[in-house]
Amino acid sequence: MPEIPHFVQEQARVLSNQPVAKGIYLMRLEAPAVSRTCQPAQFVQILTDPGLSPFLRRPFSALRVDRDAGWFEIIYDVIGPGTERMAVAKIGDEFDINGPLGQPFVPPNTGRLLLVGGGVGLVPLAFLAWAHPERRNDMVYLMGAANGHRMPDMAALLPQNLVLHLATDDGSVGHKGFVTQLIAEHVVPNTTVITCGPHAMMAQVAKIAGERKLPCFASLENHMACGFGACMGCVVAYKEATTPDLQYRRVCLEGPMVNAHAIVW
Amino acid sequence: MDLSTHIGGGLKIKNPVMMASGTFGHGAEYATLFDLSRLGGVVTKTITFHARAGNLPPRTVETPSGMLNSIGLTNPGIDAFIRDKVPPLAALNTGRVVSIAGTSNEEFAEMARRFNDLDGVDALELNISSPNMKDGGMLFGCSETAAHDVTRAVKAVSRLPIIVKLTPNVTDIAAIAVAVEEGGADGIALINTLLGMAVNIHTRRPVLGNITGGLSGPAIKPVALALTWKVVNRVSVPVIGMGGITTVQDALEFLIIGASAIQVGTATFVHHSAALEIIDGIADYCKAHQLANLSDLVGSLQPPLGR
Repeated sequence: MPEIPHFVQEQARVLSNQPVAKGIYLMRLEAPAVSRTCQPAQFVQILTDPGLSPFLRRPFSALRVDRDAGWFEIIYDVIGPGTERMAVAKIGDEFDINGPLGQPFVPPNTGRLLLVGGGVGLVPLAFLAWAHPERRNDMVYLMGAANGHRMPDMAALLPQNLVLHLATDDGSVGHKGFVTQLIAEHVVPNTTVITCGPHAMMAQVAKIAGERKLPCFASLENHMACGFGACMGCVVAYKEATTPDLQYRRVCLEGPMVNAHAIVW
Repeated sequence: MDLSTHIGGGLKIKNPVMMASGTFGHGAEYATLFDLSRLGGVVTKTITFHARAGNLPPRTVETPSGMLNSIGLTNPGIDAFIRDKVPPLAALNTGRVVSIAGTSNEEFAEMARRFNDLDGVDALELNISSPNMKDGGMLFGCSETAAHDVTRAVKAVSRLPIIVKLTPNVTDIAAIAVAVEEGGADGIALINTLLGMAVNIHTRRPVLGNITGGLSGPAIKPVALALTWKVVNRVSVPVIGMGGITTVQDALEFLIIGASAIQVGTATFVHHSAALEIIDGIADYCKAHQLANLSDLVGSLQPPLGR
């Protein structure tokens, strides 16, 4: 079982906070300790209110870090009281954060990396692209959203020259249909699929990858209480386990990036 | 200033703040987070005789000022626990309490017996109060007779202090407390979580995979405090109070009404070092009120004005 990551609790200061699509915000937080060590697929737990409501922290994957300047960015969908508080945060406001949490993910160092994102699931995939300039020529980024209003300006969020294909359910931007329909045409020999997005989308990505015998990793975002492995609440079921207590494993500690073929979708 | 306190069976811990079972793993894995030797004690996540997978997810949901959980006692079983978890636990310089849950009196007793010859475990906490264990747990804690008998069965074989953790999901928790004291309990801990439920109105399904779960967090503190007060007035063994303790104010209230120690649980999920802040706050309070010993604070509740 993995060790508990050595996370820190830090007061993070808002450097910027603005919408990048309808109901979706980009926030830059000054937090030198977290920014110094945060790796792709890791996340932070943000206390959105210092009082008791909301009571628990909320997990957010890192999009990009600047280790020297001491900031990192997140993208969040305004879906409840926690993110509603974040959406009205002003420059200079502070949030109590824990991080970095979860296991870092290092992509395979050869072959194509097919990144399949949906909605705010774009975040950990974008971090992979930012963190691995040496692998960018092998990356193809497929991005899906419900419609054009919900599709951020990806050029502003991704490194330049990254191959990018968009899909929207209503066809208002890019391919009309699900982003998963784009996968087949971008598979080449020795492709690894890496996905993050809504559960149903990731399940479909894993299915397609499985049919083509491609390695596939998924970044999960189950509900969490602690984020550091103590509560056992955020678990996902695995197809195989040597002992009963390994049937479910923690997204926050063993994940959040998991072998998509090993879990029960 | 002496913050040490007795929690039963001659076991003295250095201060009254302990980590509650199920909220801090098996203790030692969090040694990187802060200095665990500052704690009064650690209660490990409940173990059962056989390994358990736990309940179907989702297992947690936030509710106003609290959360529901239906983890379901995920654990590697007693053999793996003793092999893998007890050695690092034994190395900790704090009160080391192991929480156990059985499915029968005999299984409880057999589990307790396994700890007789082990170094590094200071006490056992009998979990007869989990709302998430269908074949045991709360079943033992809901009946005076069952609670008494399981306590007696464990006491008959164990050489360790036995603390019994009670469920609030009963008609008269003080009667259960008296029953376990008569069964030989060295200490009593309360409360475990309150049975709770949440429904997703969009899908009209229960939010939790297990349908119901246990409510914890600040929302339950006043309930926990009242029940702890009822119990301390009826038993003479030390009582460990818990339920939503998040701040030093919360902890002080439990100590003032007569709890000899307290446990911090769900608050750790939000502020992982909440227990340390509570220890410091208790020390500050005792200093400000010129209390030389924690025992001067425990049970110092005054009557309401006018009585």
